[in-house]
Amino acid sequence: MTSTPLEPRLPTPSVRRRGRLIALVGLSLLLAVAVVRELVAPYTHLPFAAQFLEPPVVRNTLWNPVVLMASVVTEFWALGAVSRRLERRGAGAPRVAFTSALVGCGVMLLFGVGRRLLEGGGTAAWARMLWGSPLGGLEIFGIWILAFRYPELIDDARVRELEIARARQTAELVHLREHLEPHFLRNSLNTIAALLGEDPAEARNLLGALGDLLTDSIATSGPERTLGEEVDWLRRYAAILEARHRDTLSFVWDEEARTRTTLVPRLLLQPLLENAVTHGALAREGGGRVTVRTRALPSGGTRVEIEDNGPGFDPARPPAEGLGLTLVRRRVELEARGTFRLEASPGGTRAVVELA
Amino acid sequence: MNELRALVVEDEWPARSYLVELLQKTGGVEVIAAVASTREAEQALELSEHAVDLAFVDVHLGAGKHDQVGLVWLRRAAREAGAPLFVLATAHGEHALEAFDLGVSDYLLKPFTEPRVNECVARLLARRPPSETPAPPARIAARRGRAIVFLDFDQVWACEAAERLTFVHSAQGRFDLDLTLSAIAASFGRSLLRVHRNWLINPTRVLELERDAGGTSLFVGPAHAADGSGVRVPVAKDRAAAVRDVLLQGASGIRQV
Repeated sequence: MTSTPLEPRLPTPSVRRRGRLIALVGLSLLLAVAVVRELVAPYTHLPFAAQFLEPPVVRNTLWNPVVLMASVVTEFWALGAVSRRLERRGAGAPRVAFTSALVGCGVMLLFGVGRRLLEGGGTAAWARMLWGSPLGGLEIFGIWILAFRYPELIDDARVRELEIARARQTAELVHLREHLEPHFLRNSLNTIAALLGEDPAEARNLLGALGDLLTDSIATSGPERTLGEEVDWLRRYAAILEARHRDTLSFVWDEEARTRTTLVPRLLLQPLLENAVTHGALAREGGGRVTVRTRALPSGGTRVEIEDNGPGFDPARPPAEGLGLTLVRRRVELEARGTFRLEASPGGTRAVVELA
Repeated sequence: MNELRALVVEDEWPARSYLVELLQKTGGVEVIAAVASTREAEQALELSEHAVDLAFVDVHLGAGKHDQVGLVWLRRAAREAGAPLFVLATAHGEHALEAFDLGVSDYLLKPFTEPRVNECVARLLARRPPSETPAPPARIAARRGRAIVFLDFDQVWACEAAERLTFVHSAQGRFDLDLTLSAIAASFGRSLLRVHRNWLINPTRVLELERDAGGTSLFVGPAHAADGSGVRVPVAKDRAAAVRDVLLQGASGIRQV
């Protein structure tokens, strides 16, 4: 895998939804804390977050604001440190939020206890502190989420979207470069010219297939299409390759009808087919075969396998991924919420894409 | 006039046959073998009893599209003593420029066309006039597993196209051919006769012409077909009369209508 600045764990729409959810939770917490405070602590006529710091005796010094500032800064720092650490370990948003909230309460409780120990105070003061400190901690947690985390999440989402767009663009560029550059076209046309004498019917079929591929690459269309359409595209592409290597290359199509409606990123599979042909099926002395298989998974997902009977590779030393495979991997993860792997199958190589 | 003796190295089957066809049509070139890989090309160069004047090589030859197997082989082979003139057959315009640095004499851009091939051959003829030694009898290069077999023309009974492959039927057995029937027909001119879309026969090896309800058919085989070897070849309806005429031209005993 290449070093992508942002390794996406979540697909875009859900990141956004979660960002909004977190902001909403933060706001509700603020509201709830305010209500609870009114209900259970009628003495909280003081301004924000001050009641748990309210000294039982001394009220007229600089002490109060200093402690407040110190506690808020400490809590912000603790929240930042804890959440970053959890995210690095791959924790999901709910867990990060829950743990951060606990940490927020804890920090404030520590400050409260410290203060009571320093300043003394009766049972009532301790009780007020035990109520007030954690609630104040939650308040600050809510503010922190709104002020720092929400914009960050939205930013993440935007960066991820850009990433996806860039990966798609690159894929399209690669596709255009590799397959409609004069090289592919010239070879295909040469094949058609060659077959005009010997097998005119086949030449006509190829003209049709080539025409479809050209039209498809020129027509503007959405980023996704059904697996059925994608496989049909592959069949045309394969027909041209099969004609060019008609004695040494053949294709087997094993489609499960149910999978044809699954949505896939456009042209996701083409580099896999091309790889299987050039590095697999054609890398042996004749009898090259590529099998394209689609299967519906019990989980509701879809698996696509592209298998060749070429030289394969040593599982202990997988081959370096070229630009094509890296792009496929990124697109599967970014755009399709799926997984991609290359397996050494008995007597060949198998590329497996699993889509949710 | 003598012809230049050429070897074609091209991994794509239709392209290979097409090039052989176009080369034969120029009248200045005789293709002695058309092979699919550099390994077979070396074999063919070794096996050939007479010097090979030209080699047409595809740059990519199968493997990955960025592995230029053809170029690598060519770079080495071009340096050997008595090497033929190399011509690059390519779909990449940009290879044309690199090519001359490698000792390549000329290049052919795909898709091949008659004028392109004619001009190329004319340039090559100007560079290397064919030797004065008489042309050796034409032979057919066929494939048996990984080996190449050269068959003398009079051993060949018929060539058959079936299920996308081409076979040659001969006294030695049936072998795979790497060319289409059209390319073979172009190589042997009138010596082979097209009797069916899928069949070319050697008229000198025809033993029987039979007509029944199912149509016309020929039996081609060795002079003494006592052991039952030989093949039965169908004759296309629209060609039956012409085939009969050709076969009867060189024979007496039946009254010609």
